[in-house]
Formats: sequence, C-alpha cells, structure tokens
Amino acid sequence: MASRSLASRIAGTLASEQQAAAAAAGASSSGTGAGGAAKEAIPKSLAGAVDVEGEISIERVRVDGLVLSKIIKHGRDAKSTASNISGILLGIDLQGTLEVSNSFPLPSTTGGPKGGGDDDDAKASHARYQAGMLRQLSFVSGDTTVVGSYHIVSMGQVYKQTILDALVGQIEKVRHGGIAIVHDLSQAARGNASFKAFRLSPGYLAAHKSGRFHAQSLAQNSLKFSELFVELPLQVRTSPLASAFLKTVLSPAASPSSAPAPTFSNLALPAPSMHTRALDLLLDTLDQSKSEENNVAYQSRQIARERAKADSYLAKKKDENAQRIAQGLTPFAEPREEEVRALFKVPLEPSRLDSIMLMGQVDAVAKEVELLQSVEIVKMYAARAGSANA
Amino acid sequence: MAIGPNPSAIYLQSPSASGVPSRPLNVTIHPAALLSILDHYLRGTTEGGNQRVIGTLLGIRNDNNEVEVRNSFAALHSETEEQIVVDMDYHRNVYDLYQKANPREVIVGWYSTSSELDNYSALVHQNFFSPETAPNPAIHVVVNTGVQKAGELGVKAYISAPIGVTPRAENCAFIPIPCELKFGDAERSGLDLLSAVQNNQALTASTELDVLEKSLKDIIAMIDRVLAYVRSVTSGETAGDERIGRKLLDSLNSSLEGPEKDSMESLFNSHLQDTLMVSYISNLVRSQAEISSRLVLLT
Repeated sequence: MASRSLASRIAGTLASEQQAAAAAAGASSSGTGAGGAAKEAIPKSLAGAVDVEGEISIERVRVDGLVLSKIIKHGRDAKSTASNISGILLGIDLQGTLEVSNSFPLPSTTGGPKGGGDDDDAKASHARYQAGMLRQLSFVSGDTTVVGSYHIVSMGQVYKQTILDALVGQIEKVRHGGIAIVHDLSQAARGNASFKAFRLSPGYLAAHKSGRFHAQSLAQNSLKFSELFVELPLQVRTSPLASAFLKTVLSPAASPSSAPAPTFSNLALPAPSMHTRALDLLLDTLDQSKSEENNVAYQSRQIARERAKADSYLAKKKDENAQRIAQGLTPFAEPREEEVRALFKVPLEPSRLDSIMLMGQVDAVAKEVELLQSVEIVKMYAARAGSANA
Repeated sequence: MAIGPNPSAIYLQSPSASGVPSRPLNVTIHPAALLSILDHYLRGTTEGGNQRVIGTLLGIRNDNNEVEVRNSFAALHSETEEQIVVDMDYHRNVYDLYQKANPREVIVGWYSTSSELDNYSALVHQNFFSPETAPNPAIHVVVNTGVQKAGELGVKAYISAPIGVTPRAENCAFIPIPCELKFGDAERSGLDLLSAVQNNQALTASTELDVLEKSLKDIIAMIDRVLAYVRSVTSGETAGDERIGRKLLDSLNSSLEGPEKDSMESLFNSHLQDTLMVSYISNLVRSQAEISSRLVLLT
C-alpha cells in the first residue's frame, strides 16, 4: 500500500493529524475501493509498483521553517557576490501537498563569461556536489528527494532566465515537474519576508513539448508572461519542537528581559535615492526588452525578405510553365517545397520566449515600484500628520 | 537575546598570552543553525536508540572574540557503555561540501542535544573536535530540547579547559560562556513569520502594505498602553515611576523635532508629486507591457 509506506517514511516530518489522514485515505482506497478519489482501486499485487501519488497534481506547497530560515540566511550571506543565487529543495509530495522539509544551497556560479569547457566542468562539479549532499543527508535519515529549487532575486524579478532554466531542467527529473520558490531580497531588506512558489504552466509545457516558441505556438497556447508560471499557495509549518523553542525564546511573557526589542525598520522613510534606483532598474529592463524586440523584428524582416525571394522564384517558374503550355510544350515539374527551402534558406521563426520573459520582468519591476510608492505615500502622510500636530 | 532560562555564564576575560588565539567570549547562534539542530534531533533519535545527536557547528570568528555560529550539520556517531565512535571521514566529506557552498564558514565547534555533560562529552570534545578547530579552541553548544528529562529547554555554550595534573582526554572542565540568538532585520521578519504560525501552518501571502499596517497597529497599541499608564498615574491609582517618566519625556521630545511647518509642507508636496509621478509611470509601463504581450499573440 503505497500511501501508508509513504506516510511512514515521512513520519518524522509530518504532524500527526496528517499521518492519520494519509493512513485513512490509504485504507479507504485499497480496502473497500469506495474511496471518493477519482483513482481506481489498485490490485494488491501491484500496489508496491504503482505510484499513487504520481497522479495527484500538486495544489499547494508547505514549507518547513527550517527551509525558510536557510533561504533567508543564504540570501543574506550571498548578497553581493553572484547574480544567480539558488539552492535545492528536498521533500515529498503527499495528497496534493508538496512538503518541503529541507534544502541546501548550491555553490554560487561565478558570473564570468561562459566558456564551453568551463561550463561543462561547472556542471559536472555541480552534479557531484548535489549527489554528495544527497548522500550525506541519507545517512542522517533526511529526505533525499529533490522536489524543486529556490531562487533568490531582488525587486520581484521572477521572470529570470535562470529560474526558467532550472524549472525546465526539472521537468524530466522531478515528479510533477518540480517547483521553484522565489525569495525577494529587496523586500526582505525592508522587513517583509516574501516567499512565492511557482511551477510551469500547462501552456508553457505544451509549447515546450512542441519545442518551438514562435508566435504561432504562443498564440495556440495563449502564452503571455503572466501565464508562464502558475503560482502555488504557500504554507509554512514548523515542527512542534521548533515552534516550542521559538515561542519560548521570542515571547516577551516568558522572559521579559531577554525578549527582542520590536523593530520598526519598516516604518522608516526610504531615502530619496530609492526612486532613482527603482526607475533606473525599470529603464534598464525596458532597454533590454526593446533590444530584444529589435532583434525579433530584424529576424522577422530577414524571414520576410527570404520568403519574398522564394515566392517570386516560384511565381517565375509558374509563368514559365504557363508559357510552355501555351506553346504546346510539356511543362517542367513543379519545384518542391524542400528544393525551394534549400535554395533560399528561409530562417526559422525567431523564438519569442526571451521577449516574453523580458516583458514579464518589466511588468514585475513596474509592479514592485508601484508597491514601493504606495507604501511610501502612506508613510509620508503619517510623517506629515506627526509634524502637523507639533 | 539570551536563549533559555537564567544564564549562568561567566563573563570573564581570561588572560591570554600573546600568540595564542584567545578564547571566545561570546557565542551567537543563527536561527537556521538552531532549527537544523532541532531537525536533526527529530530525525536522529529514532534510529539506533541514540539518546543524543551530535554534529558540527560552522561559523565565523569575529575580531572581538565572538563566535558566530551560522550553520550546522549532523555527525554520525554511536555510543555504548564502553565506547563512543564518531565517523570523522563522513564529517570531513560533508565539511568539504559545505565549504564549496560557503567558503567563509569554518568549523568552530560541535553541538549535542544531551541535557548534561559527561565523560563522553569531554572525549568527543578533546579527541574529535579540538583538532578540527586548532589552534582556535572549539566551542561546545548543548541544546536542551526539554523532551528527555524535566530540564528546561534552552541552549548553553561551553569552552573547555584541561583539568588535573597530567592532561587526559576524558578530563576537562567545561566553562560556560554567554550564548545568544542572533539575527538581522531580514531574518527578524522571517522569524516573525515562523512564530506567528498557528496550528502548524500559515499562509504567507502578505504584501508590504499588510506589514506596514501591522506595525502601525502595534504602535497604536503601544501608545494606548502608555496612555493608560499615564492616566492611571495622574489619577493616583498607581504610583508613578520616575524612570518611566523620564523615558517618556525623552521620546516625546525627540519625536517633536523636525523641520519647520512651512518647509515641511513644501517638502511634502514636492515629494508627493515625485512619488505620484513614479507610481503613474510604473502603472503606465505595466499596461503597456500587458498590451504588448497580447499583441504578440495576435500576430
């Protein structure tokens, strides 16, 4: 019975009511076969081999407090060094909930120009590192199933190539395609720990399967930047022991002298340079998006030119044939599509994926800027109210 | 912020000879390290009947004799009545892996979750971990989970000193040193998130405005509390405390300092215009981005 063995495997990480629910669900599905779930009862002989959980898609993500604090720490440590700060999430999926119970950081990639050999080397050493980490966790009975990755970004830049690459890389390796948890550093610096969980949308997966991201396939899958990723609801859980610890340590009632002083850093008015920085970032992103747009336009023109040449060639051939028929001669064979293609080399339609991603970034940055302003307006009125009463 | 009940640590600067690394005077523990120790304890105790789990502490030594414990990982060990074995090969392999991810963090000591120190603690400390941290002295952090015995939960840190005429591995004195939980502002918000967890789960869909609202409400509650106190003092219900009075006066005085009213008004207006403009522009950009992405689908 697959779900019971699953339940026992993660017994250490789950709250008891969860276990009970899992066991109950398992009992109902294999016992009487009258379980309300859509899946059919599995024959006992096959129960071990059939992956019951594989068919339930992930609906929510539940993250352990340990993972959150590790991600925050990683973000703080690696603040200035690398552009691509990420790590691996470990856990298990159960009944539509993805339990993320542990994580480990990946060594930051040096942001130098990517040479072919270096890249392979880095990949191999990454793989070695990851395998080593998983092995060491298995010795201390931790979860060793990779369920996704986390990424640390700033200014809400969710639509980063690295995140997409990581998610695409997981499609084959991780069940359900894996998830990505995105932590926003710039929000954390302003006193709001922000975590978001994403997975690839069905539309993107369909387009990925066809292997092409030209305009037509985007239109077919109605793929906009806002529909590249699906955001999953994120929950936090802590083990009873850890929450007891935190409650004891953080609550002012237990030890009034040692309780941490409340911080009001998020009430401080931001420096005026914040506007310029935010707008600079917005402009940069717009520039990138514009140059990508030009790229696509250039390629489209190229295609149109080659296409026109090919068309005129075909028309000429047709005219010749018509003349020959009029003169009573046997017409030439119609030139085949492949011949024409070989003759004129019409380039493939450009991938629109990059421009979509950049557009998504523009949107994300603009949204972030807007949020900043809304908060600031509230703070400004608060400051004026404070001084007006003076 | 101290962790655990009434710290009995000695705050002493021991005379240190020049050339010899001085003893750590203070230990700070990062929440991530503490949580992973607790996680290790939860996972480790079921197997092999080990009563305690031990592991390695990684961190950074500061100039002012402070040890910052930033990270931790589990060590494999088995103990019986006669002997204790720690798998040092495993320890080194794992350490190499952690070094790759964060080269700044080095071994500073070890942790165990037993509630008391015994001979084995001394043995492990002297034989296994002191050589790892040499020439700096290793620290030992004891995390009392409050589960095994009636002891209160808390964290204590120790350094060791040799004891006896002839130094022997199993003889050493563990000297308590102060130990604190340390986190920055960014971590603070994360911890607030964790401690606010109700019934083992919570949604983290809070925007910055929500956080701002919460802080404002907190402040209003604080002002109410102060007001209630002042009223009760003026009406004679409670005796006033001069120290509180002075503190209140100080904070009221400081909050009234600010630019003149007129200049404040003009500053406010110009800044408000900037803010509204930026907000307008970002809105404009967003709608343009939306239109553009829809147009791509039409072509």
